[in-house]
Amino acid sequence: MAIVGSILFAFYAVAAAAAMFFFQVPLALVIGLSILLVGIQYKIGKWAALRSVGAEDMDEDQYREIHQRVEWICEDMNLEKPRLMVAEMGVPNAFAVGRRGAGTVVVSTELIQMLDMDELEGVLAHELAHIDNRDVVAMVLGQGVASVVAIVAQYIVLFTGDNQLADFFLAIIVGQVVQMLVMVFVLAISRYREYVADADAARAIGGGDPLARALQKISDGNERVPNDKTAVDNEVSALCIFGESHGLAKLFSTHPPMEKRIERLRNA
Amino acid sequence: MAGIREILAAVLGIGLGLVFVAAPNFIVAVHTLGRGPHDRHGEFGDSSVDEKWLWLVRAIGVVLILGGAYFAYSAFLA
Repeated sequence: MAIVGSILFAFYAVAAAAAMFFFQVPLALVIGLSILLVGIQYKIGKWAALRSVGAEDMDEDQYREIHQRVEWICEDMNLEKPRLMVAEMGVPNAFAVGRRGAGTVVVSTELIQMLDMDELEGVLAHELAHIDNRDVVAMVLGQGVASVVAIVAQYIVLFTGDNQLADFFLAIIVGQVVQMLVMVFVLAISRYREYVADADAARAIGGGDPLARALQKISDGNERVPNDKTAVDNEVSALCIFGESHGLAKLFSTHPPMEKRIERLRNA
Repeated sequence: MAGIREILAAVLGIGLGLVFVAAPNFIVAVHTLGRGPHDRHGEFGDSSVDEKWLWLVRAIGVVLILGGAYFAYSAFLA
């Protein structure tokens, strides 16, 4: 991961140098604008995520045991207890936003209904590990680097051209291609951080089996849904050359394959 | 005589458009990862994306292919 992080830093350094060379922008301004961009993305991302699922504060009386388990895990991780929220997402899911000291974990009511308390504790420990490891901040930084590099590349193409239609089109295309290239490395970090969060969760709750069972249960539940939408989705997926069964899909995914995670957790 | 920028616009436009059509999941991940929790949608442990976003990405891909084809026509045939 140090290598991937160094590559991302190198991308940023080249973009900053290019901005200074082509547009005579002072280094302090490049860094200042980059920090502003990342800060805005972090704040808006957190706000939008909670708003988009209609998350509400998790009642301490109604969900007493969940609060208690989170307190135990936080004690073990030496982490300040994050804000706990609940949302009706229509699917069994949970996610974390924020950072150490200002984190929020959202759990869907469907997940609470589907899993037993030990399995739910495994999922909660996984999300708390994301906050403890500052994974949300790491991903925002990764996206920030990709955005800065893409913007610089785009403007270089635009301002070194003749202001014709082809220049505008090429600038957009180059921006997209550069952002994709950088994000391949960020996606690799994302998949790695999932494994780390699984391992940390297993350590915090004394074994990987509860989280493995939770993942298995969610995966099995998904396979049992024989509705029209799933059938259509499968047909559409078959059209994609990067479908689930292809190796490239793994390279371009935010999460590692479910079966690999389960296998690692069972061996933890 | 076509300029290098027109040729690049044609080749990269069509190429990127094909990636948008063939791998919309990847494009959505590129634009959403780090701009919010990437596991907010779908089920826990799953990185799947809502179909409506995939179709939107594919539609943009078609627009890019058409744009690339226009510059290819301008550069080589017009």
